[in-house]
Amino acid sequence: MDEKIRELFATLLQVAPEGIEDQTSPASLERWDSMQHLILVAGFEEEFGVDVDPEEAVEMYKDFATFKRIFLQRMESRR
Amino acid sequence: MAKSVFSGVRISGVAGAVPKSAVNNLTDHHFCSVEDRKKIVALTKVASYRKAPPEICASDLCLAAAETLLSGVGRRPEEIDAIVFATITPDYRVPSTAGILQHRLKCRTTVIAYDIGMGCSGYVVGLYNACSLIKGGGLKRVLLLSGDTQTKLCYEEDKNVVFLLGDGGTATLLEADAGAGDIVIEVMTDGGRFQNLYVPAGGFRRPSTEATRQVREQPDGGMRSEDHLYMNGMEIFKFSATDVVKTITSFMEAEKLSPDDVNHLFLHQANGFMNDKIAKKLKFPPEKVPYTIEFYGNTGSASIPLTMAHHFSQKGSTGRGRCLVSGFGVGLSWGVATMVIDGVYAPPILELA
Repeated sequence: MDEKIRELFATLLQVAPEGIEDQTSPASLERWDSMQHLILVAGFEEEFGVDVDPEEAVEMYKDFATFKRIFLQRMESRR
Repeated sequence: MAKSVFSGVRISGVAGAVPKSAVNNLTDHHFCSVEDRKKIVALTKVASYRKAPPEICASDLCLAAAETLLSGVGRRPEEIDAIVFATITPDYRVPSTAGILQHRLKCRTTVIAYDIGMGCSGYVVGLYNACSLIKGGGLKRVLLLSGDTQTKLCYEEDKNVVFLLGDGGTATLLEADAGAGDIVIEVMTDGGRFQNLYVPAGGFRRPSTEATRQVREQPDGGMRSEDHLYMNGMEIFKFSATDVVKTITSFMEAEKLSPDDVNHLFLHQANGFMNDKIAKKLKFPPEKVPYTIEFYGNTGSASIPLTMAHHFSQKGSTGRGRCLVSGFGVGLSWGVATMVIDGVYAPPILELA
């Protein structure tokens, strides 16, 4: 699952997946700006058929580890 | 707390006007890749918006809307007692544009006319002012003009704003009517966060200079000058998704309103993704939440009345039912209002060349 999230994250941002690490953040990855972040959230919602709360979407804009953790929690809560 | 109940004020009509010239978000904005443009349009729902040429100001759009409105409801300009103009894009820094509109509309010199320097919450704050003038000041008729030409504030390659913001002007007529139901309005302000959506230079705190006018990469990575509008996208998203939703939720609880009791939820047209999230959080079905963002974008203080006018004009030129309206943005300022309308006159949206 981790790898699938990384792949989708990179695809949506149009960057190489190898460059995405847990500590990757909007500050370190220029492409990850606020507009692209909402595109990411919408893309993940569509791909996995889940709804991310707006508060969660805001929290996810920290680093890739946080993005992944919150998204996985959201997936888990759906089950 | 700035929450008030106004009894005996009727909204008798709402009209809108936009520039004829349109910007297509998919085919224009060549500074952005085609792929990015498609994704931004899919996210924000703003396929296109209207952009005023240099010679058209927000006041021109509001004037056209006001003339159509007054003639449609059968009122003469001399019957107006007050003009309130909500805008962040006035004609001049001095004087207030509302006064100029008094003259252009041929209203009497006995009117009170003033601007409210509010953007996306401007319509709700304007309603509060208009109702106060009628109930507190004993006036009979107030013309609330609400409009912006925000494209003039944006740098043409700042993708945080240039895909979203469009131009529009509106006019709403409010009249004293003992038989009218309550209009309940609550307004909130948090000036501590003003720097999340503002134009850093060009005012008196920081006058425009050659340096502030220079377009360069800003600390957030965006290209613009300090005389252009800056938006911290995530902070504004956070504000809208949390503060605004909380305020609307507590307002609805206090007014004992559920989505079933409301016929129309008119949200400020911020962006499609955000508005969908807000409507979902409030548990409103999509059919009760009209949008105009697809073709007009986010028109600032015009967006709520423009959406009302468009929606009601599509339904046979009159609006009925319980409305819940909420505006939020620049300030930061936000507000919510509810009223039952009956036979609000709403002509088709005008286009100005």
